[in-house]
Amino acid sequence: MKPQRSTIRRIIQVIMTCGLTFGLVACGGHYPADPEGSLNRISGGTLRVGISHQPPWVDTSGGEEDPEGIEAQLIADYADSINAEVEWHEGGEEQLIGLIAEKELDVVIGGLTSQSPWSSDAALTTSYAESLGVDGNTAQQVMAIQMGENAFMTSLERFLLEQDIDQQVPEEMRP
Amino acid sequence: MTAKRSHNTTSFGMHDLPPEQQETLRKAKRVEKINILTKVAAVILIYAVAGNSQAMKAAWIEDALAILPPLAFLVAIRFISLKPSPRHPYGLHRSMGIGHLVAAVALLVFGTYLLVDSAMGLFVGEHPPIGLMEIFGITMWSGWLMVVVSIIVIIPAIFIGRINAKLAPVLHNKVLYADAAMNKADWMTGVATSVGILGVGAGIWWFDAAAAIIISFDIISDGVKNLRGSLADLIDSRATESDSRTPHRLMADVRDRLREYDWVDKVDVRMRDQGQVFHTEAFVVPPEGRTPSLAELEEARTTCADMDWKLHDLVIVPVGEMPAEFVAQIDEKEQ
Repeated sequence: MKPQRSTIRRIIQVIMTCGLTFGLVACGGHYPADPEGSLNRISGGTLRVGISHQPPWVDTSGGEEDPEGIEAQLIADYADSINAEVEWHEGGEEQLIGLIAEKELDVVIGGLTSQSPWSSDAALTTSYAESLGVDGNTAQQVMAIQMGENAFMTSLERFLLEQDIDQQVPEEMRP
Repeated sequence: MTAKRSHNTTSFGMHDLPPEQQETLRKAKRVEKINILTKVAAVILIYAVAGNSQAMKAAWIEDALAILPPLAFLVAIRFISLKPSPRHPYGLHRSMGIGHLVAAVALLVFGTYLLVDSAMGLFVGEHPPIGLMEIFGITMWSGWLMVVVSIIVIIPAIFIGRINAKLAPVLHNKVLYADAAMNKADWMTGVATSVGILGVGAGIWWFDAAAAIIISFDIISDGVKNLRGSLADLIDSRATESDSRTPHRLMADVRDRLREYDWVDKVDVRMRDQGQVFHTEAFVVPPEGRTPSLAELEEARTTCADMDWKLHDLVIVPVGEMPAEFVAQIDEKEQ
C-alpha cells in the first residue's frame, strides 16, 4: 500500500504544482486564456464577423444595411456588451471558415450546427439553441470561432447561454 | 470463487496448480474482470464529457485499447485450462503466448497513436478549443470537468497496475506484466491529459501535445519490449524469466538435478516457454556400460517435473551422444 499512496501523492503534487503555476501565469488575464489574445484585442476594439445568408439566423437581404436575423442580433448585442464595433463580412460558408482558419475573422455565423463538417478548421461553440432543420432533424445551433482562443470562446459562450434564444426561434422550427 | 468457477482454476491443462498459484490465479481473474469494467466505465464517462472535443478524443481511444490485455488474459486462461487432446497434444498453453502478443500490440498501438496524434497536432499548430459546458444547469469551463474525469478514471488503473505487477511473477504470466504496463501507460496518460488541459487553459496551446509526446516514448518502449518478448516465446526461444531476457533458472535446476544421478555422464536441457508453462527436453548421455533402466528414468522424470508446477511437461531423452541439432542453452548464464 505504501508505494501506491506515494504514487498518488506524487501525481496530486504534479497536478497541483502545474495548476498553481498556470494559475499564476494566467493571473491578471483570463483563465482559460487566449494564445493569440483575441478577447483583449476585441474588447473596446473591433469584432470581425463573417456572415452567411441563412434565415432566420442571418438575413443579409437588406443589402448595404446591417444584417438581420437571430444570430446577427446576438452578435451585435455581444459586441455591445464588450464595447466592440462590429465589422460584417458577407460570403459563403466555405470561404468564411477559411478566413477563420487564417485568423482574418473572429466569428462566423449563418445557422451552423454542432454537426458542422468545419469542426477541424474552426472551433464550434457550445450550442445555445435547438431548432428543426429542413431535413426534419433537431439541430444544435452553434457559432464558429478561431481554434483555441478559449478566453474569447468562453466569453461569447457565457453571453449566449445567458440569452433566452429558444424563444426567438420561429414556431415552425421549434423541435 | 463459486464451485462453478473453481473447476477451471485449479489446473493448466494437465498441470495441477499448487495452492499459492490457484489463489493468485483466482485473484488475477477477479482483478482483470474489475479492470475491464472500470475501463468500459471510463470509456463511457470520457465519451460523455469529451463529446466532440478533440482534446479528449485520444483519451477514450486509449481506454478502449486498454480493454484488450485483460480480455486477452481472461480468454487465454479459459483455453489453457483445457486438457490436451489428440488434436492438441501439447495442450493449449500457447493461447497465453497469443494473449501476450495481443497485449503487446495493444500497448504499442496505444503509444504510437499517442505519439503520432500529438506530433501531428504540434506540427500543424493545432490550438485545442475548450469552451463552456452546461451540466445539470451549471455552466462551467469544460476543462475543469475534463481534468476531474481524467483523474477519476486513472485511480483504478494505478491500483490494478500495481496488483498485476505483484501477481504476475507468482503465475509467471507475461500477459499480466503487459497489462501492468498498460495500466501504467493509462494513468500516465491521464496525468498528462490533465496537466496538458491546465496548460491549454493558461494559453499555452502546445502543452497538451508536448506532455503526451513525452509519455508516449515510455509507452512505446514498453510495447516494443513486450512485443519482442511475446514473439521470442512464440518462436520457441529459450525460456526466460519474466523480463524476457535472463535464461530461466529452472533450466539450470533441472540440469543440476539430473547430474546427481550416477547414470548421467553428460546432460543438457532445452526448455521453451509455452506462454504459461514450459515444455522441457533433457538430453542425457549415460557413461559407458551404465544404461539407466526404465524405472530409473521414470523416477528421474517425476522428480524433475515435481520441482516446479511449470515443469510437468518434461521428457528425458537418453542418447549415445548429444544430437548435432542440439544447442546447449545455459552456457551463457554460467559465464
